[in-house]
Formats: sequence, C-alpha cells, structure tokens
Amino acid sequence: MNEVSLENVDLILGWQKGELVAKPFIAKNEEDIPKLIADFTCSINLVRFLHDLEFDGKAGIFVKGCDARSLEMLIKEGKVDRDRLHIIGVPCRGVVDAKKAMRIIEMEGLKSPISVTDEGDFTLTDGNKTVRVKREELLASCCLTCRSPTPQIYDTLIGEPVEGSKDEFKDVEEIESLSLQERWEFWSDTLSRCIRCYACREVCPMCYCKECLVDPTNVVVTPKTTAYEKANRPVWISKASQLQENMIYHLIRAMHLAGRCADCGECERACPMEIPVRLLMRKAEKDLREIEARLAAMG
Amino acid sequence: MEFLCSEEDIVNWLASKLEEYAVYIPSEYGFERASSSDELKLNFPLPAISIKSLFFPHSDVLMRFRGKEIVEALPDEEKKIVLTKACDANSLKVLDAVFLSEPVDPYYERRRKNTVIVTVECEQMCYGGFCKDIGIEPEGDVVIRRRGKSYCVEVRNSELLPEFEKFEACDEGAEETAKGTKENLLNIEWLEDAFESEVWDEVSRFCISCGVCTYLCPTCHCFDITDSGRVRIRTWDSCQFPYFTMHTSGYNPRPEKKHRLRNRIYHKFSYFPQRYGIVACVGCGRCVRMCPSRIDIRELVLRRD
Amino acid sequence: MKVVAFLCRWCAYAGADTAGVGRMKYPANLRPIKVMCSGRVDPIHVLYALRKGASCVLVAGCHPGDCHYVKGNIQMSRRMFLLKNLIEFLGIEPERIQVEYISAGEAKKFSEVARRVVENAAGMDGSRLKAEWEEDHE
Repeated sequence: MNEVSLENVDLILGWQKGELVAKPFIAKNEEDIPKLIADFTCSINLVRFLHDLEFDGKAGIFVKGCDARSLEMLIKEGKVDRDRLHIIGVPCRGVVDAKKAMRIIEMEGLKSPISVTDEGDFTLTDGNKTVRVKREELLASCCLTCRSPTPQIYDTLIGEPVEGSKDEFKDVEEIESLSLQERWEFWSDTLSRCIRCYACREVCPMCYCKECLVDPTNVVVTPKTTAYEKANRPVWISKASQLQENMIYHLIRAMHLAGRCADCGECERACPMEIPVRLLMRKAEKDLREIEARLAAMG
Repeated sequence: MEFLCSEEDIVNWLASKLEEYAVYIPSEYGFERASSSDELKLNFPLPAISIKSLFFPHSDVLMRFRGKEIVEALPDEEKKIVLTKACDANSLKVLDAVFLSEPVDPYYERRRKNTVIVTVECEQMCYGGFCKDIGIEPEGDVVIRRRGKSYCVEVRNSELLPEFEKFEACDEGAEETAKGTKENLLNIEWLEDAFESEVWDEVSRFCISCGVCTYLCPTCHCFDITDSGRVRIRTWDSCQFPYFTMHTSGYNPRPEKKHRLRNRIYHKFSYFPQRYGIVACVGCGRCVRMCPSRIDIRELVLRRD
Repeated sequence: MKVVAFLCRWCAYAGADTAGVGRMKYPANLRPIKVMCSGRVDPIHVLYALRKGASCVLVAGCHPGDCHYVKGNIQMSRRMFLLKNLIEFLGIEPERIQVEYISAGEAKKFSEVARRVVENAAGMDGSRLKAEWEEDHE
C-alpha cells in the first residue's frame, strides 16, 4: 500500500488478510502498513468500529462505496467528527459473502485452507481441487445492486473509480407482487428462524444507541432508581424467539433505519440464520424514494 | 457390537420407528421432525442451530399464571430418535453434566429422558470445524461409520441390540489404527496464567458483543428467566451481551467486551473442565464460521505449527 | 375486540370530549389513550397494542398545519405511512393502522371515525401480530 502512510494519522483502521474474507485490522506503526489489504474479500464495514475506537489525533479509515455512505450519514448525524478522520476510499467491484462461499465449500467438499481468486469469475481452491464460481453467485447480495461502488467522500482514493448500477428494487418488487397471505407465509417462515442474537443490530453502523428498545434492560439504572421503577420498566417485546416478537423486532429496526440505511448489507451477512434482513430496510427505502419523487413532481 | 448394514437397512430401521418415536433429522437451519420415511437419510448437513435446541429450546415456557394459581408447564416425555453428527452428540455430555447433576433440571430431563442418539461419523471436518483436532469421537446409542458402500453400525445401547442381530457383524480392525494417528492439538495450559494477559484486548478488539457464537454453540447453556404476559419463560442468554452480568445496582462486573470474551474462553476451557472434568467445546466450528467479525477461537485454543 | 386509539391532547382528545358533551354515541370498543401530541406515538406503541391483542389502532391528531407543536402530526403521518407499508410487506393488513385528523370542534367526525374504525376492525380476524403464545389457553 504505497498510497497510505501514518504521517498525519495515529492509526489506520483497515483490513488484513483472513481466511476466506478479510479481518478488521488496526495499523499503528510502519511495519503494519504492508499487512493492509483492500480487495474483494474486504466485506466488513469498518465504520461501525469508529463508535468505540480510541485515538488522540486523527484516524485513517478504509471505506468502500457503501461504507462511505454510512460514514456520510454518521457525520451528518454528528456521531463522527469528519475533521478527525482521514478517509481512504476504495472503489469496489463487489465483495465476497463468506456464507455463500462456505456453502459452495461444503457442497464441493473443499478442505481448508482455501484461497479465493478474482478472475472476472471467482476461483476457489484448496490446492487439490479447484472450483470456478460465477461472479454473482459469490458476491454479497447488496453488491449486485450497488448504486455507488466508488466512495462519495474521501481524502485519498485508491484505484480507478467504478461505475454503479441503477437500483431497481427488483427483490422488493418480487415480494410486493405476492398476495397478503403469500407474503405472510414467506415472512413467518423466515422470521420464525430468528434467534435474536442481535448480530444484525450490532454490526450495523447506524445502530449506535447505547440502550436499545428491545433490550431487557432499557432504563438507565442509577443509585436513585427506585425498586418500583425497576419493576415497571417498559418491556415492549419479550425475549422469547416467537414469530410475533421477532417480527416486531425487525419492524422496529426497519423503522429506525428508514432513510438512514446505507445498504451496506452487513446485517444480512452477519445473520447466522440467513434471514433476508436487508429486504425490510430496502422496502422502507423504496417507499421513501417514491414519496420524495412525488413531492418533487408537485414542486 | 458392530453390524454391517446398507444405507437402506438403516433407513428402514429408522422408518420402522417413526410411529413409536419422533425422529429428528438435521436440516439447514435446525433439527426437523421427519414425518415420512422419504425424509430419512444419512447424508445431512450440520444445522446452523445445534442439537441443544431440542432439549433446551431458545424459549421455554416454565410456568403459567392463572389468577393466583401457578401451573407448572412441564414438557412431554417425548420418545425421540435424533440423527446427528459427532460434535453435537458430544455436546450432550456437557449439557447433561450441567442440567442432570443435582439439582436436576426437570424441563431438560424430561426432554432428554427417552432419547436415542444416532450419530453418523463425518468423513471430513466441516469448514472451520476442528472436532478431530481436539479428539472428538462419535458418541451416542448408535454410531454409524461409513465402510465403502455400506455402513458399520455400532450399537452401544444394549436395548437396541436385538433389532440389529439379523445383520452380519462388522470387523473393526481398520478403524483402530486410524484413530491412533490423530494428535490432539488442544492447547489450553497457557490459560492458567493468562487472565490479565493483553491477549484479550487484542482478540476482542473487533468483537461486536452479539450473541452469534453463544447462541449457535452446542455447549453454551446460559439462560435468562423473564415474565411475559401470563407465562414465565426461560430464554437463551449470552455472556457476550453487556447486560448479561448487569447488577440491579447498576454495577457491571464484566463491563468491557474483553472481559466477556475472556469469560467465554475460560468457561469452556478452564472453569468447566475443573468442575466437570471435560472441556466444554466440541469443535463444531459454528462460532468460527459465523462470527461477523471473524474472531477465530482456533487461534486461542489450538496448537498451530 | 378492542381498538386502541391514540388521541392528541389538543385536537382529537378534545374532539372526543366534545362528542361526550354533545351526547354523541360511539362504540365502547374504542379505548382512548391521551397523548400530548400524535407525534409522540412511537411505532412500538402501535405494534405493542397489536401484540397485546388490539384488532386495530387509531392514531388521531390535529389537522395538518394546526399542530400545537408545529409539525408533530406531520411526523406522525410520515411514520405511520411507513409502518403501514412495512406491515403490509410482512403480510399484515395495513387497515389495522388508521390515521385521522380530528379537530377539537369536530365531535361528529370523531364519532363517525370511531364507528367506522370499529366496524372495520369487527370485519377482520384477530391480529396476526397478537402474541398468542403468552396467553394461557388451557
């Protein structure tokens, strides 16, 4: 990485090589710089880690197009100080979804360690056996409809800008075209799988509330809090992994993220039960855009 | 006793049990009850949710409130046959040690009581899994091993022996030699004086305090009890959540994620072996595969060349 | 069958009051909850009502432009529009959430709205969001 240096930053939040997909990494001294990578394995959105990152002066951060969108929103919301960041933009041609890769590995019976190479299509190999996989079969679903793969805000840009595609919300329309009953069946099937591990909430850069509405303890407890207050704290939804509770959790998350979601796809990649969490956020996004277009037409 | 069977023989045996037993077979996301013999097969995936969900479900109703009366909601003593893999079968040893030692947990005990575990040995480890590296061998009432085109069925539960006596005996010689060659790579001695080590800062730096590792883990068994409407429920809880150890006073003994991650490792590889004599990890690799931040437990507990 | 109505203190609730003073009848299935502003109604309040077994939820505030807090009612209408779309996306009838604007003087409108909402709720099956599992059925 010739373009990055630690000259005017304390540390750089970036990616390092990992098995299958890159791991987050903090470069603190010059020896760490060569370890940094920025390629199709860097699926993790690093912006989330800014919330609890401690540094004195300035920090460098690697962002892809989608990460930059979430960073922009956080700056707008005053959660991140733009002046204390050195943003290193990485134009992105799509990142690998580890879960999709693992499914192929299991199916083909590959043994770890496995290396993935990008040659237009992807190649997975364990040394003995090599599998070629079509690009769209391994890319994270959000990459297939990415509207701005090139970061819109940056201080340094590494590589050539990449053209985005037009997002037509085909996946949302597909669900919308179903009848009410069919939609209910689809969602009760997928959402009853939810185990409420809250991985979708925790990976999300926009979910930064100190106390979440769905947490069992959502009232600040101080020495002056009375027993009555503790006993009567609002419990909006139960901890049980029941369909209705899961639905309300996901509905509330979609409501809280409406208009703020950067569509980085982290929630979907983090979900161990492969729930299409992104679909709900995208539905809200689509509706908001329709209103916006209508208002613009009205002048 | 070991018997040589074809896949068809085993499926037929399971199918003959469908009426008397509830037969559970792993699917992609969890264990599902087989309703007909068509669903029975010996080639199944390792489900996302482990076997613990059958005996210790995510949300379990403990009791119901009827006016001033409290009604205990004990589960049925369902007769089950569970098809599983070596890792999940071994995790039951850990769960049994916790829930079946005094005081016995009646909810777990009732579900566990009439269960026949049928373990199918894996030919190779899953991606991210490390069961064979830490010496996990198939456990259960019936252990099925592949022998070329047929299967060697080891019946460990003597009550089931008569049902297999019609098959010819299987010669186990080749297996024994293969067993001896595998070295145990478990490396946990260093934990003894690493409690205050800086390792934990390093490892947990990118932990996001979600519950993926603990909820998917077949041996993690922490729970929370809450009231909800007119029922009292027991739900899974995770030591990785910041509120897990929060006291009523507002004091939190494990305030940072490094404390919580350290606790998970120590519980599995230090506290649990000290108390029950077994390591509370079966190497299924679910946490390795699914961690959103790619935290790899193998880097902490396995010897690497 | 119950309908939970979130009524804003300045307009809709006052409208209900006027309806009471004018001895106008409206169904007793409507359970009013007074809020300072319809903008106070969080999506979780609506979903909680449905979860607890309400058939329908009515959120009523001041007419656009009349909000005591300038634009609380507009925020409410935006929020409820999104929430309605989202629950419809999940396969739950969007009619379960009703939004109305009722001023303090519109007693007649209030009783009409109340009747309409309750009739509408009576025509529907139980809410799919109701947490059946936490009830005692034996």
